[in-house]
Amino acid sequence: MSTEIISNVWQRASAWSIAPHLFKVLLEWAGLIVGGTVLSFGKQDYQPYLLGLVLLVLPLLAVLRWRFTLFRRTEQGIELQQGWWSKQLLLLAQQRVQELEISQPPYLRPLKLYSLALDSAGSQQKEFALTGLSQAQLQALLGRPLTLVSTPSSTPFWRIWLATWYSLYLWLPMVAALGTLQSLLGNRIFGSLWQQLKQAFSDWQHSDHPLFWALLLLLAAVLGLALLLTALTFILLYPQHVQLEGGRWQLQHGTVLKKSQQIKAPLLQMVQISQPLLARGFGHYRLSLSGFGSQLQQSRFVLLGQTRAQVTQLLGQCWSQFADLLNAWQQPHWQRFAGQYFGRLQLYWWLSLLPVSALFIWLASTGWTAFGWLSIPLAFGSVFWWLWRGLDLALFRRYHGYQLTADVLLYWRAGLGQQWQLLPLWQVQQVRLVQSRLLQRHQLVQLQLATANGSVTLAAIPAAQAQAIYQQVLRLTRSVV
Amino acid sequence: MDSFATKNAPAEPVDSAHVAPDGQPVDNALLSQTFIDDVCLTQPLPAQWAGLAAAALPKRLLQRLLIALTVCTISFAASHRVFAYIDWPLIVLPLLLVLALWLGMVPLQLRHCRYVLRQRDFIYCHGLLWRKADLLPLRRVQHVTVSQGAIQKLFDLATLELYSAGSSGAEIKLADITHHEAMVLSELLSALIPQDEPPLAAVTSSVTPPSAEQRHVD
Repeated sequence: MSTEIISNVWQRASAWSIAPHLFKVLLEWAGLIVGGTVLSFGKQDYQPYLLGLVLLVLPLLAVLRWRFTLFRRTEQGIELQQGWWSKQLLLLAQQRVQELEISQPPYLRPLKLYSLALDSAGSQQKEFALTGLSQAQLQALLGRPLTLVSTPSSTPFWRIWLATWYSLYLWLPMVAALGTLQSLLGNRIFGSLWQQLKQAFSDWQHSDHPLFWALLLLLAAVLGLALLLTALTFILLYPQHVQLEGGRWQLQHGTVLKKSQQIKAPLLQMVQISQPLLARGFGHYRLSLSGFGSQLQQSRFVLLGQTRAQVTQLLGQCWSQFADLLNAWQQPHWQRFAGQYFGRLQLYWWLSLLPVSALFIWLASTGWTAFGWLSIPLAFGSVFWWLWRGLDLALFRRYHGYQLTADVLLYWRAGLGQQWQLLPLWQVQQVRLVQSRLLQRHQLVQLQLATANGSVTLAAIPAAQAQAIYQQVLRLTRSVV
Repeated sequence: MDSFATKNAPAEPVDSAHVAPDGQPVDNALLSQTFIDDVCLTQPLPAQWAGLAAAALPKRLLQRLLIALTVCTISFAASHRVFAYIDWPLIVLPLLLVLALWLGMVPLQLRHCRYVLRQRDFIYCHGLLWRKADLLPLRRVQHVTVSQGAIQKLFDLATLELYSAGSSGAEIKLADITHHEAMVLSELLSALIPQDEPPLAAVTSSVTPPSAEQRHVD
């Protein structure tokens, strides 16, 4: 297949892309299928019609959808034409392409086919998506050779795996996958597992060595979780490659579910560096690059298990003046929030002791039986949570700061974990000021700077400084192209 | 008299300011000294700021009354048997108190709502206990919409929504201004959005399919 740009010639994706079209059609007609199934159980006469719908009509719709989806590349950009009943023509100018995502689902990998998703600027814009493209077609659409091999070295497996322990947002796809698995396999496996767990717990409560059994159960739970996270890492996250090439950040990750994402470097909306408590012990960081988001696709790279040297190198590639950011917080020129703000936070923290105490006293008065075996963990857990919040607040008050350079706002917050945020002022879309009664009395204001994908909030700064920051935003604001 | 007289306002900001609701010029130096000063946020408003329409008060009161009536009707229909065994004053009096507070907040909220269109940005202030100011640079405005609900139609009111790039919802939602003001503001904002950007990239339209010789089947 020629790798040259084929212009003004309509093309069609591979016939293998009928499969994802069929899946989409099934989803769209799911209501009718479910309703028909219910009816057919009650009245046998409807069964042939339901069967005909599923076996004949839906595949036909998928084939028609594939047959009438055409694309081509012209001098103006990319054109997509789709629909056989109601036709639509989508024109996407090349310079308006903000985000580009190339992925290779597992069923396309043996066929050496790819999926492409393009996103343009602005809200409520249509996403441009195609499945089942050959590499030549992909290159023809993008207008340049595509190098999907020779990627830089990956972050080691164990660092990514360790990052899954403190990145709770990753647990959501794992829980969703488990739920899907349970619905597919029925309650046989999970139901029996749950019964065995309950039996083990009951044995622990009535055993002669409860501490031993408790530790054993805890160890089994941790090992089970470790296995699940290992699977999650292998499927979704490892290997993880990132590089800046041709003015574009390119990230690839995953083995079974491989995903590739690109962000134009000038369109970087925000950079966030996180170091949760567990990561601090290992000296690892989580780096998040936010690209230009839209209603349909929020693009955010998250690089897990990065070392300080790697973060420094990546920051240097984004903005060279911030390469040493992780050490800069020790310098005195960082500004801090007003003390009155922390006084109010501390008041709220003390007030939160009331419900925690009430819960503790009530559970104790019921003899720790109100919620069964959960009563004691709940009571002591709420006290622990209160103490944890207090410690975090004290550390936040002591270790935080913000700094405004010519065109970038830096914000650093350190409680039990640490977080740095870098926000280029020229990407700010909207500014919001909030003033409570307390802030009004002390001529302070809360300033929130929002980009298309992420925001930074300065909790309590002088009103005059907020005005100066806003004037700077107005000077630097330029179009997002 | 059309208070927004600059229907053919230039796309680029110019030295001369555009017109404010009361006919006075508004430039970006306005309120620069007291813009975020708490004096500005709490004291009587300068003339250049525009408030919501006078009809916004009865409209919002009517809206809240309808909501309260709907909720009470549904609650009663769902559990009327329970109400038969409960002492009515124990329910009605607190509910009336809550309703009175909820309705009483409306004029206070309206008094703290104001907006101004400047040369380079649009500002909307609102909030009762927590005062908020939303500032949207005009270069960031992607498009503007005007909508009118059923109750708003009765009072000739409308909602103006300003959208910026990347937002899933409206960045600024200015509800209950007069329909005429909303239309004029919408036209003025659309004219003031900088025109140096390339036209919209994605355009959808219904077309006839290409002929067979224009296609290339891979």
